[in-house]
Amino acid sequence: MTVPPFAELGFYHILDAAAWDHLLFVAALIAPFAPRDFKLWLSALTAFTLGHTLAMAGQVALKVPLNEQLVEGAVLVTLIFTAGRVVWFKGAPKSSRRGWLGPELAVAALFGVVHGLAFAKDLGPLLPSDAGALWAAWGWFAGGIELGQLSVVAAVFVVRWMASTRGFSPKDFALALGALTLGISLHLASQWYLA
Amino acid sequence: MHLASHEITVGPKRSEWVVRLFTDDLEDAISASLGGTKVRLERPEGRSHAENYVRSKLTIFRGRKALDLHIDGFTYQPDAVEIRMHVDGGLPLSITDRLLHDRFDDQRNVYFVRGPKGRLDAVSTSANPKIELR
Repeated sequence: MTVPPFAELGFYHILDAAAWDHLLFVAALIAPFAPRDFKLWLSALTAFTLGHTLAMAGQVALKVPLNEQLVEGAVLVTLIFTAGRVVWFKGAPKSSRRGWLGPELAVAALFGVVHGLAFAKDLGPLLPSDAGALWAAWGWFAGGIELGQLSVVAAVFVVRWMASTRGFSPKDFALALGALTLGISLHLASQWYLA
Repeated sequence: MHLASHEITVGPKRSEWVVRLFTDDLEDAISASLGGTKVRLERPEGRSHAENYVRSKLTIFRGRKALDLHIDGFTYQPDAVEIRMHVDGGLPLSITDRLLHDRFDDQRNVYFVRGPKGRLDAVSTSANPKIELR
């Protein structure tokens, strides 16, 4: 069985080592959560996928002229906000720990929208005009994104488990991962600003 | 991963075909095929370069009969070029697609085909460039 190319594209779109923002965002988003909180982190990741996919579809259909530099800057803002929030609250805020994920869902969806707008420019010109084929391509792409994110989540949880065997508490791990992603995000933001 | 897409609408008398390629990928591939000569597809000679390249990399058969690829239009955009073509008749079609495969190992050419029996999808890779549409 061959993997549909748009699923493969979505999968590697997340895991692209040259595009750190996705990897960092997923890591920062799930930093405060344990695997057993899967309802919380899975809904946040799905909000991102929905935002990304719908924004791409909307942008391909409407072709709203966008300032590429501003869109890239907005991606970094959402990333810094997500990582900064983990550091500020030393993990997840109390509301999230109680299961209310409003801010996480909103930020994840917003990040998805912003990044979807940026990626629409790259992928849009190759998409078919036939509606059935277009929806199939979107579906596979969204599925690939979700799988790519789940593989990042799996890697983070493995590192989290390894850290726990060395005496790191979940709070320490979330803070360390949040600080690391925030530091890299600020570096990326400075590169963007200088460019 | 490098991508290109084909959209084929199969009719009883002819099959309409649109291929979309990233402009920089195509310029790169044509340039390499011309021995490194710089190619800019927005220039007047861009269309003939693109057409010659596509003709050299796409072969189409129905059974044992080689089919002519009629090129009907070319649209340049900074991001991607679109080449509109047709072949006479409908299915079956046997396509060997080597577009950009010589340039990029990870090239995937995705086919979106709307035939009389519904939609067909296929992918041409450098390892398996042949597409059979029945």
